[in-house]
Amino acid sequence: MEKIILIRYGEIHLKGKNRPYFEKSLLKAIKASASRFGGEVSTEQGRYYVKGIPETSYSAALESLSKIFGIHSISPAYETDKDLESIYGLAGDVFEKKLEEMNRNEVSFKVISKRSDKKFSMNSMELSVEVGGVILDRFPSVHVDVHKPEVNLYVEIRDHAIVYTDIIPGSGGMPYGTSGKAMLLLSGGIDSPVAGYMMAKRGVALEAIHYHSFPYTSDRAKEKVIRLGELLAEYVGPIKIHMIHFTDIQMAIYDKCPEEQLTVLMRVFMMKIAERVAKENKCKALITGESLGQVASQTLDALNVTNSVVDLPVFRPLIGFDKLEIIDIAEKINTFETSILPYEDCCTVFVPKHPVTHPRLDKILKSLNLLDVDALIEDALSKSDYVIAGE
Amino acid sequence: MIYLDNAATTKPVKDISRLYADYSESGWFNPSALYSPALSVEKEMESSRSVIKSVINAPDMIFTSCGTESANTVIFNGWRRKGKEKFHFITSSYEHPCVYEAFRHLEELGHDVTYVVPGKKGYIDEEDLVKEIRPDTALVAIMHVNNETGAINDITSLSRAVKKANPDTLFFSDGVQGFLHVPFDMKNSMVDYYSASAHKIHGLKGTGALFFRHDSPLREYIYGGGQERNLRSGTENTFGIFVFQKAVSDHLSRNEEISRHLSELKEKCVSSLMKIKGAYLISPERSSDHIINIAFEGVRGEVLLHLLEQNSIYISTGSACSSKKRTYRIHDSVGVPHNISECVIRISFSDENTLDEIDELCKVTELAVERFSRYSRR
Repeated sequence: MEKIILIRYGEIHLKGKNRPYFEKSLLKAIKASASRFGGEVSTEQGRYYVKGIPETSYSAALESLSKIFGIHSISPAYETDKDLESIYGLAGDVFEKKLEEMNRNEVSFKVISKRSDKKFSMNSMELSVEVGGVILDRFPSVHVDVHKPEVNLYVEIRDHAIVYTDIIPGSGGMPYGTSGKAMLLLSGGIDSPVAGYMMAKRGVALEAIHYHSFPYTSDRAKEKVIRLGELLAEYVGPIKIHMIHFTDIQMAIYDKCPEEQLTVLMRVFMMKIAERVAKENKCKALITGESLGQVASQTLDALNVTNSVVDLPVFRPLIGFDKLEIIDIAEKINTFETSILPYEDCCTVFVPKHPVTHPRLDKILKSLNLLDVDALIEDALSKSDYVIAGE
Repeated sequence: MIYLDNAATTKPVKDISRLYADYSESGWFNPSALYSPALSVEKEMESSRSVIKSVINAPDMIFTSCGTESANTVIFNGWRRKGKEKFHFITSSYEHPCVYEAFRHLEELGHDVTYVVPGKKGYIDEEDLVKEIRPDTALVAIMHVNNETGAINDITSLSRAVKKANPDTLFFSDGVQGFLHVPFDMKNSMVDYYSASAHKIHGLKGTGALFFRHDSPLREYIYGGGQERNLRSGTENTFGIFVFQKAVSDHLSRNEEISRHLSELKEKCVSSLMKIKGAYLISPERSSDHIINIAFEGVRGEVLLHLLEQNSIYISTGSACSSKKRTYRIHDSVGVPHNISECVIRISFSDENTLDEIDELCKVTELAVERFSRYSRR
């Protein structure tokens, strides 16, 4: 008997002729994860098996695999030969482990059998009945309940026989990178990592851009953003983060433009720079963590202004989410605790007292005319660099 | 480098490498062992204890790992339990998190905790405290010197007043910022417990002290071989203890000189900084000479910190212990409005700082405030 991991994929099923492309991408991600724990991956009829993972790394491997986008579910499973004696023995052992894990003796159960090898000596129904009998003989205090069982014991007859009890939901979504690459505006707050996660889940490869106000913001603020990148990298692999020196632009705006427009003008520059860096790095869209009405720069009028200065599509997966809903996801993907570290960032250092909440495009464009926009952007880019998070 | 964050931690004593050479040669034996080299170590440890106790004329003391451990030990183990009975506790609203959070936990356990607010004057008022005492008040905890504002509480009078109101109530004072900075005589007070931390006075991290009276209830809290008066088992951190002793002895040998120097530094620093536009002094009149808490309206504390950092001057915005959680609990307690709280910086000295360094600090601060206030909220 060998302990293996059984992986089922989700939405790719719906794909037609493109299916091999998606399967290949998913396989690549699974192989990358499994190889870190010494596992080998094989495929069979719309599912994957990971074998050869040592017991000490087994739960870490399960956790890592469950973070891969495109996986529908995962089962820790056992494999044995297709003779009845081995199957009955294994089914009993797997059931016993489950009882130990639940720390109970009296449970209700049901055997669910599947047979893809039609030459096997019993059909599914017969196999379920026989295995059920074996379990009842070996564990006298359990009973069968086919409607609401506490334990489902799965027995599958394929190239080998496979037995398991648990089906753990995977991350869902599409294999990472199958939808192309986009540039995430990563601030260090709660929302942007969540926005990145949601688009990555739909198969978008991520690159990120961060704006800092050095020397007014600190290395700790920068480390925080890198840490957020590392947390996202657990789902998507290493992420390139462009670190943009934004201070001079902020000061120029402050010196020359109406104070109440500061925030919107900053957003305009951020979008323009993000688009430029995106195009240079073959990204086909921008991603922001904006949620309608959350702050002054996220009103419909403000979004109209900041949207109008770029050509690339802007994905705002959180646009219809409440803050609490966003926090729920941030907690689930483990970025919340890092996001709330209280360091000053480029958006808190320079804040107008009464930001304009319904900016008019013509007025904003007029203010932009007071600045040498191209030169400011060139200068900011020349003082910028990048890091790779999660390498 | 100009280091002005001595309330966060201090540079270790000068001769530490010589101390370590001695330690690695002959001071490393387990003080509980029976042969004579071990006995010497034990004796040295006990003499260290005496020296450290002498600072505040304390009846007894155990070594701990830090100020937080000392405070937690008193709050969870330094009062008389009666089965599962719930008691009343009093503390102040501007304690260090190692005290404040411990009391929050007692509340979660079902005890009743009253938080006395110092208000604008910055100290805990005797009347405000005494009127909260109840027959079931088990413990009162009022810090000696506030770690952010530097305010000094008169714990001798406060402890006497508490005992007068209820002789059964125990009194603890967190002395981490007071120890060696503000004179205190424990036997002459009615304080039952007092805590200190070595790394705040040029000792090492990982070494703390808990001072107590012989008749004050304290339960064993680390079980094992019976070290440290059978309260805190575990082989003693002897090297840390020796450095602690050295730091205290060095200080005591120059005690008056150091006090004079610190008070000179503070006077000069406050008078220069207060000339800067928008300056708002938070440290009250009666405050420790090693801490200045000040704000420059319109310049956020962290921004000013980074501007000073550009000139290799290191200060703090609040206490380093709460820089991971942004709250204005302490400044709310002393009635500072939020637009000022977010602009607060803390400058804290050691005797190694010089008047020239203060000049440099004030000069750079003035430039930084001037440069930045142009860009702050108008």
